[in-house]
Amino acid sequence: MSNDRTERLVNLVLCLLSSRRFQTAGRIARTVPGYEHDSEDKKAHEAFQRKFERDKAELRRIGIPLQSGNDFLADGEPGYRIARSDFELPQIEFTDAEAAAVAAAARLWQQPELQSGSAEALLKLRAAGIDVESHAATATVKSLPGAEAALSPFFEAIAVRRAVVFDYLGSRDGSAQQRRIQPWGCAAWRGRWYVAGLDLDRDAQRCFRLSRISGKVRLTGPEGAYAIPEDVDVLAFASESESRLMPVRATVMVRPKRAWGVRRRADQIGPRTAEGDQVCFSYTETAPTAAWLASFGPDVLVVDPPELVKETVACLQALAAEEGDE
Amino acid sequence: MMVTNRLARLLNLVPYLVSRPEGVPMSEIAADFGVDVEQVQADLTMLWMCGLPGYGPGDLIDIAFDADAVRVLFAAGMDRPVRLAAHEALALSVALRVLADTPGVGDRAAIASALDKLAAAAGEAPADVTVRDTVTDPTAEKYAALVASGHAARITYYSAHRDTTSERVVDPIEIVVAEGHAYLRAWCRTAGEIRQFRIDRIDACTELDEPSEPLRLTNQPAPTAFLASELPRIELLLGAGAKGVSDSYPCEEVAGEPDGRRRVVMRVRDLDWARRFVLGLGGEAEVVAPAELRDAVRQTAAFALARYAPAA
Repeated sequence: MSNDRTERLVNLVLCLLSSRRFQTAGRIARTVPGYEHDSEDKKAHEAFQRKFERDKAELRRIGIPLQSGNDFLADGEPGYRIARSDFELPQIEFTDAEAAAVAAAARLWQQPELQSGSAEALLKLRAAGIDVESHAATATVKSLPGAEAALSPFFEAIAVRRAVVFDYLGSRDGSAQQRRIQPWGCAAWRGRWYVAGLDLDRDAQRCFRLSRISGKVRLTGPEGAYAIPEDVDVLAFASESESRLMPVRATVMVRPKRAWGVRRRADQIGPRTAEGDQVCFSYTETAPTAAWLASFGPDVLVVDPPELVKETVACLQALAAEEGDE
Repeated sequence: MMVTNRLARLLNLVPYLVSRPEGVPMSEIAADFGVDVEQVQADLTMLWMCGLPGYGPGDLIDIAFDADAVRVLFAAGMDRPVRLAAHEALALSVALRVLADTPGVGDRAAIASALDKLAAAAGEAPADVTVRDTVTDPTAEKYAALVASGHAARITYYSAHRDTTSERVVDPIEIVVAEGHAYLRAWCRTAGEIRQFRIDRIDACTELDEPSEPLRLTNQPAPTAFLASELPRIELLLGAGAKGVSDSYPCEEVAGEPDGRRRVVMRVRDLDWARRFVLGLGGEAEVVAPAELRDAVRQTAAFALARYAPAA
């Protein structure tokens, strides 16, 4: 942002804060340095209006609540003001332990928009006289919920009730499909992020795992396009969408003294046969389990269930014959 | 690191000084706002030219600089910072909820009360975001206590990429939680470098009497730092299902391909590790180089397939 514009915006904020009365655009143009122009000149006036619109948008973007309304002296022309009670951060005090928690939380995010959101919040707290950083004990635990890149567009969409579009690789899809949803809420469960909402193409409630979204999440359509049903429990959606994956028992043959990873997961080992040791374990998702079993190469032979055998063989075929199908 | 907006900073700077009437050294302001001293000077100079309508000497923001400190004399009505914007309150409060749900993160009561105070300061109710079961491993607390004890430990660890179990002495640094798993980040005395051990793969752990000294790092250069260039270099083409690799493993190069796949170049400890790694990607990765690795992957897969041949 240019120096002139920054200076103009600071003066605009101070001007709108200084009076309880709504100030018309014309009055603001005559008062605040940087807006001066000949209002009789149509072009110059339009340029001013565009500039003023952009400035108002910028103030809203950084969280400054602009009120518009009519001043009784202004003859019906709309005016603007900033109500001090909406503008100012309320009195807030933290104990040392709370300040340390806030400082640790601010460092949690990897994703740039969430990172800068926390950084801006910390600056405001600091400006309110709270020494957040000085209490930052070195935390022994660093927590990084995965796949947070899609979170901020969802947060934004939910806040203004807009629909979103994204490409999603469902557990049964071979390739990513475009989905349009009205998001209701997000939840982190077992270290994974989920969003629940109304799937507009299927006209049904759906829950999505954020790590399966490929590419960008785009906001689409007007604001306020829907209402979020009361008592939405995203966490329940998430756990339900995962629990449809009932555990399945697998039986595999493992060569003697090989594939320790499979043995560690076993709930039953033996008997030993000519093919190797019979090992049984439970799993929920076929594709990752098959990929994992394939990684042991000839040390593991999958026996049951048939879909796991089929998927493992498919992985091995892809690995063995890359040239053929590329 | 801190990406902040200059206008937001200017609006914070005045109340920041108002709340510290004793004055603040320029260097401390710079550190608190994450900018350099020159930038603070430029910001203060600009604020000097801003003020209330009238813009006469008594209307402009007045700031006194002297050799050691900066004080604000007239704030033009900007005594308090701007309320937290919805996205700012959300970023902080969701992070606090993740912390509150992570084992070993100390003072949960403080996290909960900080959350309440933030919600009150945010103005509008932040969107409802639930966080639960961030770590599924129940023993994570035990390892958090180990880190807090400041002692070294002897662990028995199962390495998935080697498919072997080995015993080693480690100097714990911290617990890192990612995607539902907790990891012990520690200096591994056997490997002579920092490693991350997934906690559910630690089969045994004995706390030792000697102190944890991960800082032995600073005394001797990490071997990986100069050896990295001598480690084998592999090049892969990753399909949709394996793109996460470039987020989870250090890559020297990452590039998008016209067909939507991702081309990555990475250093690996040895080619046998790489072979198992590529096999574990379930055919979602194509080996571009070296040819030796490509052949090893194909051969292993072909041997495995041969065992299914009678049935197929």
